[in-house]
Amino acid sequence: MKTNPGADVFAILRSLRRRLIVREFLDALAACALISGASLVAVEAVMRFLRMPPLITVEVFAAAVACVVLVAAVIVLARRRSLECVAAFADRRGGTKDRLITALALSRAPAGEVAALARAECETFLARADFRPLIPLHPPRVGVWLVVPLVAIALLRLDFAVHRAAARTTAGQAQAAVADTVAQIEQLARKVQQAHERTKDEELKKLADQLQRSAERLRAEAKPGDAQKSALRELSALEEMMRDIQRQPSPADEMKELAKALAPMPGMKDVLKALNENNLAEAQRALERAKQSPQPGADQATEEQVEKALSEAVQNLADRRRLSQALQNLAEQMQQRGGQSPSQQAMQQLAQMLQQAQRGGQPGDSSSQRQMTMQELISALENMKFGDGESQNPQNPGGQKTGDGQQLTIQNFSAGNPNAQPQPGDAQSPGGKPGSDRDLGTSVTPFGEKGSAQDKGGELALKGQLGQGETLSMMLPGAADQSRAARRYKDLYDAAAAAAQDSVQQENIPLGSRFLIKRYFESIRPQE
Amino acid sequence: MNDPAAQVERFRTVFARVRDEIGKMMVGHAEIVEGVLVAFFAGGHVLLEGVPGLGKTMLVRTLGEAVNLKFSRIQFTPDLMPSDIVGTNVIGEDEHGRKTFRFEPGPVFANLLLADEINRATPKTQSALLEAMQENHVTVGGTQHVLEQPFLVLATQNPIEMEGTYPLPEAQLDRFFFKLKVRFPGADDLHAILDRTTAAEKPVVEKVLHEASEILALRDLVRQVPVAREVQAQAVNLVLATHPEEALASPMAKRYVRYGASPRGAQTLILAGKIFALLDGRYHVAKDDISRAAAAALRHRIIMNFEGEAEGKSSDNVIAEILARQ
Repeated sequence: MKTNPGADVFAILRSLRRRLIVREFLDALAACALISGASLVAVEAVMRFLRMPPLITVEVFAAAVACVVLVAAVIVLARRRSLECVAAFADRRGGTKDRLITALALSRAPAGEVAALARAECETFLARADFRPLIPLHPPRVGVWLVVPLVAIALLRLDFAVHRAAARTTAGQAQAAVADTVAQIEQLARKVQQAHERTKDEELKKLADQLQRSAERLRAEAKPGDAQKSALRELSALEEMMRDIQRQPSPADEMKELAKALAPMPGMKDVLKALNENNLAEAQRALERAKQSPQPGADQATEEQVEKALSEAVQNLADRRRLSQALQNLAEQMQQRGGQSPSQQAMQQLAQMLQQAQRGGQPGDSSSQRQMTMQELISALENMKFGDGESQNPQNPGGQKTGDGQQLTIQNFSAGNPNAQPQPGDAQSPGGKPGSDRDLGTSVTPFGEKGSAQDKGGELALKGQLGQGETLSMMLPGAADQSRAARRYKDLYDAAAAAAQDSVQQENIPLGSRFLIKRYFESIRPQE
Repeated sequence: MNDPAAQVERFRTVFARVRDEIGKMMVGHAEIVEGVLVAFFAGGHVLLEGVPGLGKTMLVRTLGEAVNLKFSRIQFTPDLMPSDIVGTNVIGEDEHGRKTFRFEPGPVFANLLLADEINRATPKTQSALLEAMQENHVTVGGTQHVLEQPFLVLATQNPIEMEGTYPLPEAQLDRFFFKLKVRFPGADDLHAILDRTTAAEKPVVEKVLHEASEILALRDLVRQVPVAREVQAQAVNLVLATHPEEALASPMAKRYVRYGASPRGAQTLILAGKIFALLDGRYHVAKDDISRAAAAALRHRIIMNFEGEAEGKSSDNVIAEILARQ
């Protein structure tokens, strides 16, 4: 920055300002990069801690770099210095005796003779000076520390890659461990779907969907141990759901309950018999005959008996958690007490249900098919839970190898394998409750063998003696020492002590406690 | 001699020669001599604080001889009256034998006035100097008597003997351009003093200036030295930093200072800075020149509070901290 004598001080200062801006930009860039790097490391560490995929991709890195450059530029522009500031900065650093700031001031203001002399002296001095060393342009020193976040990010990514490879391996093992279970559940889902298509039963449709979802959840399991547990949990939940569905009454059950309630009516026994035989046609014919036959016996007592039986039947079915629309209508009509008698309403409802059943095919077919499907499913699920006795691995019968090398023993407790039923007292057998741990306390004789005490000796009654051995007692500090209202307290004590003495003597209080109470009253006795 | 560069060069030469002439008589105390000369060429007055026998009177007398100015000395005592300083009207006879009042000038009518131990006089007498120092004239019997220029007051006070003294009021302290502390000379300086004062030959002081107008011209030259606003801000910030209620105040100022420096302090800083700049071979004032004058210009303008006095903090400590923070 050599200038000619008398050179424009503005040119010098503008040149200095450009260098200053460049240096400040580099400094701001380094600082922003450090902050950004630290933030990225922190975010990456959090993501790593949460076992989530890394956030820093090429796009994110490029965006961060762009942000750093932008922020650094904004900072430098916001900090843009005036020429006076630059002159003061250079004067302070350069030991110029404030010649820059003076030359700048004298360049702008009209000067006298001495001022002109001063300006000339300043410009001559500045012309000889080289200000470049004052504002060196070198990489910021803090830039070296950028290595730290870069290394940290690289290490975090390396750690993630290693962990991801291990996770993939583990997930593969987990999938392999539950692959058979998943395949069987999917097969069950298909079967249930087919059963639904045959019977049009919505419950089966829901069940098929539930099975499919269970299979998908199992397929998503990544840990071998968790996969095994999840499989057991899913199978248990499915089994519970199926048993719940199985417990629910079918339309045939409802018709039987109706017929049973109407049994006191003439001709209804034939209907009940036909329904029990799942012969809907015969039941409908018997019902027609009962309706067409004269009703001499439908007196008030019979009506009340029928009404009571119908209410019980409806309540019974309702307790089984499902009630058909027909029976709901019947219950509402009975409550509303319409023009018809309960028996007539029930017979009419039964006739409608029989007609619907006739139109929809044999009710026994649908119901029995559903029951059969449910039973098959439950059996299949039990087999899947506890094994079917025919291991896939001949080297590991009845067991599966977990991911971490632990042996998971699965025993067949199905009905077809009576030898595998858990026996009471067998410490190595599960308790039979789905999902429970091994039941080490199960025994057929939890209180010992009958008569074993008599075989080993006579009964012995242990009796204690009062006054011997340790007695539970405590020392209670007297409250009288801390009381200042001694007179009133003494009156209260006399009244309470007498009442307590009476109570102790009259009430059924253990002797040990009597002593304690006596000591208590002694301890709170007011001092004379 | 209209060339400003030549005027500046002459100023430097005169300053250096006067300093050398004083140096013939006064050993050591270079800072004191320089401070007195700066105040002299800036048109201010100086308060010298030091024990007796350090050559204060010799300094003023030698200065008077070097610049060919009238010198007078007043020994302040408790019974000194204002009229003893400024003069009084006395009855005299004219050439016709008629009795008339005639003004008899006091010792203040001199170019260089040494007010020795000024704190021994009563405040009433001290204030008699006030008008003379600031307005450059005295009023006696309703008549103003203008003092001859240049007029420089060098007052001394003894920092040890405080009993029976009357500390100068703040208003009068503020009228002193510099307050200089004369410290006891070292061993080498003492040897030199003994050699010069006990030998047969006495040094002869040569006159550097012959006319008072020359001094006034040099004073005008000093005031032409330019000051950039940024540099002037240094003086302003220095003064503001001594005020405890200002945002720029230093921590010590906030804690130990009761009243900060007056605007006269900033004027003093700039004027002294201009002279220091000329002495340094420059034609403009730098911040270093302001800082160089700070202690002497501000120390007597800062009033410490009780806590500061109790903890032994002086205004010099406050100024040093302010300079260190800038």
